[in-house]
Amino acid sequence: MLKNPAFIEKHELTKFDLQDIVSSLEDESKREVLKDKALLMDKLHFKNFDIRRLIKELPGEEAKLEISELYQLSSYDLADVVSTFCYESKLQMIKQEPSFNKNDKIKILSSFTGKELSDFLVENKEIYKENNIFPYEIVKELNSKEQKDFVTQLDELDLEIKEKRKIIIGLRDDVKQSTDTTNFSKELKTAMSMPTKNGMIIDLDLNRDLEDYRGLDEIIRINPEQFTKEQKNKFMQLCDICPNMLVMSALKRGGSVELCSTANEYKEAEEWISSVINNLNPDYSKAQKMAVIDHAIGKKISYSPDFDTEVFNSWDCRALYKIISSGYGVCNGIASVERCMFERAGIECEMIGSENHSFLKVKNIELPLANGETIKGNTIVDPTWNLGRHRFDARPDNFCISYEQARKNDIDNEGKDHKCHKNDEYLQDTTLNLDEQSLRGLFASVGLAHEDGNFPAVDLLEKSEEIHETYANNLNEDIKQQFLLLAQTCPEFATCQNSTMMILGKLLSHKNLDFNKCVTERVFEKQDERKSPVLYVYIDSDKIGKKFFVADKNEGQFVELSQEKFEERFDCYQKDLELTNGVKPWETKEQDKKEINLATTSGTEVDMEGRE
Amino acid sequence: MNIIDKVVCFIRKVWSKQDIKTIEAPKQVKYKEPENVLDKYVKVTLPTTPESKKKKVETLTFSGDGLGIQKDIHY
Repeated sequence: MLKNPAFIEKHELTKFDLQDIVSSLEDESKREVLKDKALLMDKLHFKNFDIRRLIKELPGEEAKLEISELYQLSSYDLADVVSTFCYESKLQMIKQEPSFNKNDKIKILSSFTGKELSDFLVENKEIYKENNIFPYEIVKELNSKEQKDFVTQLDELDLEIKEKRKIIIGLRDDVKQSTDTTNFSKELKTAMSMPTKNGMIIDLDLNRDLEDYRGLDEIIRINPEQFTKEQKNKFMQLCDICPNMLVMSALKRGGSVELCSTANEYKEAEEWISSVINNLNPDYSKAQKMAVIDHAIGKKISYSPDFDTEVFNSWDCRALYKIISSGYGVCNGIASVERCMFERAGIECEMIGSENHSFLKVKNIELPLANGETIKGNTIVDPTWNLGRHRFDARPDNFCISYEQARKNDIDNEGKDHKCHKNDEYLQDTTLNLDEQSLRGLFASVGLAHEDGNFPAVDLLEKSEEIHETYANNLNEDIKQQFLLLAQTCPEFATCQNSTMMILGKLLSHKNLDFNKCVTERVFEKQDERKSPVLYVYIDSDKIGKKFFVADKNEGQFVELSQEKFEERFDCYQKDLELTNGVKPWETKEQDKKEINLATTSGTEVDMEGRE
Repeated sequence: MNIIDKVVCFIRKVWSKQDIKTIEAPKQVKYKEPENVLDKYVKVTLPTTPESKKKKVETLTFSGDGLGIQKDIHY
């Protein structure tokens, strides 16, 4: 029947019907059918999890392993199969199977009975300690019956009291309710009274003695975003008591995705946020406060320079407190930092997403105009696109702009619309646009622009121009002095790579620097296991040849390397190379230096030839 | 000669038929271009390389921070 497609079609048998048929076979027949991988996978379209379920039904561990190997099950699926083995075989597999990770091993261990688990914890301490597995991680996965059995033996187990407390906290609610705590120690009774969700403490009782939480770091997950000032102060104390607990932040307000930062990262971030907010002049208008906050974020945070590479961590660069602590983030993380700070300053805003970007819509804001009038409505602030501007105290082109202006800013020099701010549904009422003169006035009013309305970047750019003029006949010295100027203006330039790339685009595009090619990009040091990004500049010039400059994070300056040394030490990210068919930026052909109108010259030559 | 006389003299000069030279009709040229030249000319004069642009420092492009999308930094 299984091998007869006409029969299957005639009786309209579904995949579930076919599985039931295989499942109903006698042991030996079932084993034979499972050996026919082509039949099950290619013809009957079974998936690995269907196969896994059928393998678990086979008698004999040897047969199960044989078929599992035939289908090359994932370690997760194999762990599920091993969960049906006897106690000794499970132990043997945990010790010997190299593909099992920590979670696979917990899965197998949590298939023990309560009694087996307590025996395991006594007799095999080295196994769970070597694998960095905590007993509570196994116990919380047991079903209610096995948890109840286990708890009756908890008192006799040779475990630290903090470990026992974590086990108690991780018990299922029905187990907690039915457990007799009469003979429990005070610590265990306290643990039993702590409210939990899925075995984790997610709601803190800040009125209780914070010492009750000591040692429970691994099972605490708190989101303090909505805490009051007093609650935050208490929570800061808890960070010292439980330095290894995780502090959560929501990716989107009201959303289910929460991201982790450490307690230390939270403390550092909270102290910085408080210092910015507390230093706001109470007499400032909301618009003035927005200017100060947007500028402070630009000075503190840089766009993640490893974005779109194989080492990029998409969670870390979106976790609110981690971004502030590390100084690196991507758009929706940075927008959430600004949202958090705007809200603390009493500014109503909402995070808006397009298909490839995130930014803020500020609502009902009053903006002062240079002519003395005030306009009120909704506007856009894009903190991420302002990062490079603020880092070098230049004019922020994405501060209080209308939707129309934001969409204009999406179009690059070549006319391509990147649609970064496109969201007609949420932004059609976002019409407030602060004109240039009013923007200058606003930033001047909070000391972030000169009194004449110029932003401080004027000093940098004018000095840069002077250097270009002074060293017009000495390219090497011009470049060297430009780099020195950059380092003086922004000593941390090597660590805020993307912001630096932005300003280098300006400093190195002068007419005197008649380069064939100039590239500012990122590479990583081959010896660096983390593959941290390193900013470099590559120049190809007829006058000075090929030059490689690397931004040295320790020295805080550009260091020149020969091409040989550069290629020996650094490499491009695989993901970057995929975009250029494996060609490195310094391996591409030089751009045409002279702007020759080939159409005219070659055409003339052919015309002449024809007459001849 | 006063200014009015000068103007009258100028207008007369401009409109006087004696001053107009007739242009001779072009003589017929018996030269004939080879047939393939025009095609060759058209083909070659079509731009075969992208139009040269002002040289720009090359960098990455990110929707996130607008690198490679945003215009120059201004003060």
